[in-house]
Amino acid sequence: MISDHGSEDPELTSRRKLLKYLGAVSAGSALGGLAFGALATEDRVRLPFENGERRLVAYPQKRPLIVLTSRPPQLETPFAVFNDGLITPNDAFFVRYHWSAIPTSIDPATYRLRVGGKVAAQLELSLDDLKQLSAPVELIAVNQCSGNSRGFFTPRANGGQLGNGAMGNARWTGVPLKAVLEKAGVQPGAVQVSFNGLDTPPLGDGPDFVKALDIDHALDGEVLLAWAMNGADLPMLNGYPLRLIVPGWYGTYWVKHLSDIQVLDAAFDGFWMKTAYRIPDNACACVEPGTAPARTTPISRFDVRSFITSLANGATLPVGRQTVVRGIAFDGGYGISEVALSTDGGRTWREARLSPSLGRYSFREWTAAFMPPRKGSYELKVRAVNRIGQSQPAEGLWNAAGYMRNVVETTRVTAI
Amino acid sequence: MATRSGFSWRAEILVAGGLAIAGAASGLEIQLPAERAAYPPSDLPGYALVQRNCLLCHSAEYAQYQPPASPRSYWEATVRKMKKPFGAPLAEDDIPAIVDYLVAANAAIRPAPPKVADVPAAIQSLTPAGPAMPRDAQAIITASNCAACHAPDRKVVGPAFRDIAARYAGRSDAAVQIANSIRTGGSGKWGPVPMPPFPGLSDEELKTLSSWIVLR
Repeated sequence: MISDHGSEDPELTSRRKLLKYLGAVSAGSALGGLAFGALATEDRVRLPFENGERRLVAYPQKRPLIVLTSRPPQLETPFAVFNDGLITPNDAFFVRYHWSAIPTSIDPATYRLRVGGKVAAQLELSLDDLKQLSAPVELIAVNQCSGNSRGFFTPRANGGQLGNGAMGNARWTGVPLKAVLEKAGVQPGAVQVSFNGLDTPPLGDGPDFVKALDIDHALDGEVLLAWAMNGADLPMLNGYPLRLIVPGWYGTYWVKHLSDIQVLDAAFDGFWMKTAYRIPDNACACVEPGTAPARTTPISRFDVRSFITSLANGATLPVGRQTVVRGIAFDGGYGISEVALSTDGGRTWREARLSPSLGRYSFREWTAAFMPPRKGSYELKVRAVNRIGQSQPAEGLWNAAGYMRNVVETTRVTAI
Repeated sequence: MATRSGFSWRAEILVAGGLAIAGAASGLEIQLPAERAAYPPSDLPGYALVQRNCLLCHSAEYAQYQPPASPRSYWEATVRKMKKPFGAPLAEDDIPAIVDYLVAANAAIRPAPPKVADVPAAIQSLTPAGPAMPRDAQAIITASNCAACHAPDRKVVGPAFRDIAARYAGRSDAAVQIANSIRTGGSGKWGPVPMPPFPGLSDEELKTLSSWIVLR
């Protein structure tokens, strides 16, 4: 089976549709002169799977991004952005929410973070308090949605039908969670720590989006409470004014608009830990398509992924001339140790050159020279290995929720 | 394209997105762009039910973008999840009709349209689909299930019609503003629950409805 490729249809990406709103709907004349809108331009993109046509819309503080859902906003980064640099710009960074009652106005002067539960002293910290708690820490780390690339699952998995753009790499600035918990004084018997943000269910008694980490993880000194992203305040849709940074772990734990931390003496049993975001409890986090796992466990660390970013599917290359193929690789924080490129559909592999590391939680750039010897089509594949020997499967693994896709990616190009 | 009988996920009304970022001294404030997705109109009873229920909490893309031929078991399980534990106020008796509608709408997802055409499909689909006969305000309220959230003189999920009229009293553009809110939806003016958009209403219907509300 040939695996799926990684980027949107370039022909449609560049296809701009100017829609004459007034001519088509004539709202102005019907409603006494005031139109709902004048001209609306709309760009669209087609993700390369069935029913993959999407709008590109610029949300506040964002460039036009691929709209997965408009309420709550869920936005995917166009894949070409990943070839612009190893750091994903704030205005291109993906957005994922669960409930639609999201904060749209926050006053940092009155914002408070509460810390409670099994602690010696309950805390209510302002942003200034947090910034003075300890020296600021900076860390470059990938955030990736558990369901990134779900749209490529075969057979298809229901849920948010994402391409490969629900990931991003940023420089986060904040204080270690450990410093905050130590200030509060974790009491003996603490088992987990739960995290809640200002987003809530819009009505009814739906389960608020609350996540939890084991106490040892929460105290490891790497988990951060970040107020800045790439040197600027967090965009509202990425969690302003404070979000949890859980390096190497899926984005579901990176709680946005963080407002409440509770130290617990038992495992947290809320819906978003006990029922949702669970994977098959086996080595591959996979099952035979259509079957259910015997046991499940909460999703945790990223698996290994790598992508070609410099060439999209359908690209053309000059025969007999060297092209430098470039891309990114990352894993759950052990660090990428090796990347290999195949230009013959996976029959033979050559080692790629790794660019200097920005840290073991960051995208790692790789490059490899390719000189097509003859005209025709080539199937390029990229495969990464991390420091503990984890790699990527040749064919996509399957689970019902469509999580953790990390197949060896394929990019088809033509030499002319 | 957006006929009342056939399904079309492209029955969208485009509006200029109201993008705004306020960096005022009071903090960071954003205004989300208008919602553009809509459930495809249908004569199935589930159509009114998804408008009344599903759109209260989320936009239509959640269903629109699911893979073609998603099994009925998926839609059934999802609707049930929305009721419990997610808290959607769904009547048990309404669930089969909602599932019927979602299965039918999903089955109607068209294959990818041909590549660049002279007239983009999205423009063709913007032709208003208004009904042949004009409807009065009460008929529109009934057909659109406004009463699921709004009552004449008391707050239900959304504000009373009387309170909406009071808020816009004396403004020459009151009907236009109200019509705008109905068509595009909105949030923040009346409380935490957003008003879902009703892009399927024609201009005439919106004018009739908003003019009626102004007089409450």
